[in-house]
Amino acid sequence: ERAVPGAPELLERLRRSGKAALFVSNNSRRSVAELERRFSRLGFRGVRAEHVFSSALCSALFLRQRLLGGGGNGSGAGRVFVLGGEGLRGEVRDAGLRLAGEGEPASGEPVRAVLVGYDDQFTFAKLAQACGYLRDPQCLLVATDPDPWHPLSDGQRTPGTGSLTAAVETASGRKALVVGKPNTYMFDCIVERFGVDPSRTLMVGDRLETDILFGKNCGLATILTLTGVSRLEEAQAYMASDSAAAKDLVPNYYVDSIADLIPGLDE
Amino acid sequence: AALPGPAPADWVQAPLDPAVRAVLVGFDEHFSYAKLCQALRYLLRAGPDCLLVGTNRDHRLPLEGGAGIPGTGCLVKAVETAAQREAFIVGKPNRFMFDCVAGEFQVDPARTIMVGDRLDTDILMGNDCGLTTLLTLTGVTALDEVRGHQDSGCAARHSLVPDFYVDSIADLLPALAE
Repeated sequence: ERAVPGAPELLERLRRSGKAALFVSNNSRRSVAELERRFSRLGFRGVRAEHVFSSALCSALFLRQRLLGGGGNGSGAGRVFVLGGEGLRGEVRDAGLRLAGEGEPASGEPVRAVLVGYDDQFTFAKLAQACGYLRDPQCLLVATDPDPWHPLSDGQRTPGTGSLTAAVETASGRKALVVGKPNTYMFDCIVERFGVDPSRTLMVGDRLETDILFGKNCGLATILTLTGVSRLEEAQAYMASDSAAAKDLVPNYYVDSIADLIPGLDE
Repeated sequence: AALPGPAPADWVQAPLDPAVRAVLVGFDEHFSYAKLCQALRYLLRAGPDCLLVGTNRDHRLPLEGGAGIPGTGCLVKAVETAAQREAFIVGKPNRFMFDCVAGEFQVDPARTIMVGDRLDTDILMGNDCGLTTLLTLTGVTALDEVRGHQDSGCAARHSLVPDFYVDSIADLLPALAE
């Protein structure tokens, strides 16, 4: 696994030009501490956990707000049933929430939220357990992100949170609250921590349906980089489409690689 | 077969069976992410040359006391979402099964009654296939639900309304005793 050539240099140039770089990822596998280490291993300098907003972190913040934040009926925050790995579970714990265990009987402190994330250990049994909790209309159904699949380094694909959420929604008859891009909650988290001005912020991403639409939804100018998921032809198809919704998926700019921005910073 | 490692990155290295030309999703209480991953690999390898078929779309299998377990429809939806394509659904309310029955037994729709307890599968299929439909109230459906569809202004919902209903299928016995 390697960084896109030139990306670490671009970030270094941005830093030297006094431009903040923040990262917003739909990845719900890893804690932001792990992501910080990953950035470092890939050769990026100066990327701290506080600069990284993952859907795992933001889902935990969302649940903290909903279950612990102001008000409540005094009977305790309740527990969260998490469909996901240790990175996601850790973020939920770090937010001060308690987790329901797998295969636990439905007694004890009520489960007040089911959180669906990337779960490569997802099973029918966990799906059934989640549905049991969701029979209580007070129990929230939250999903970290809507991604249907993720690319693997060899060009294959692995199913994303979106596919697991679809199963839970179908079984429970409920619609999930989706934290990740293209929804704007993660931007609210960014603004709260860093006070970002949308009119002076550029969103860079490789996936039209999440990154570019997220940028549009948050009032940011957008750049599509072609080193990832989306192809230029897809952007062109959205541009040619008659549907108003399709227009929102068209980036303002595109680059073959994010490294192409470096010359622009030289001036 | 045993998984060749702990993570998806390992699983996707396992060789695919070259003879596979369809992914069939049915009720699977052992459904897992690993199986979903494998299904996706077959569908991506061959594109439209690999069929994606689901046995049915039922959301839930009801149990006593209002509980239920997830139905096949959930698993079909998971595969459809990951693969970004729609499955061909064999089961009710699609007419495929009726066509199988009608072909095998020379069934005349004009002289056939479909009896069922579920509006969005049994009754809808019966109506779509030109059968007379009879709802029995011993199962998942209450009469209020039927009235709701009947009173709605929506043609699609009218297709869910049976021609007749009985409290129980046993109520038909007196008519047959003559």
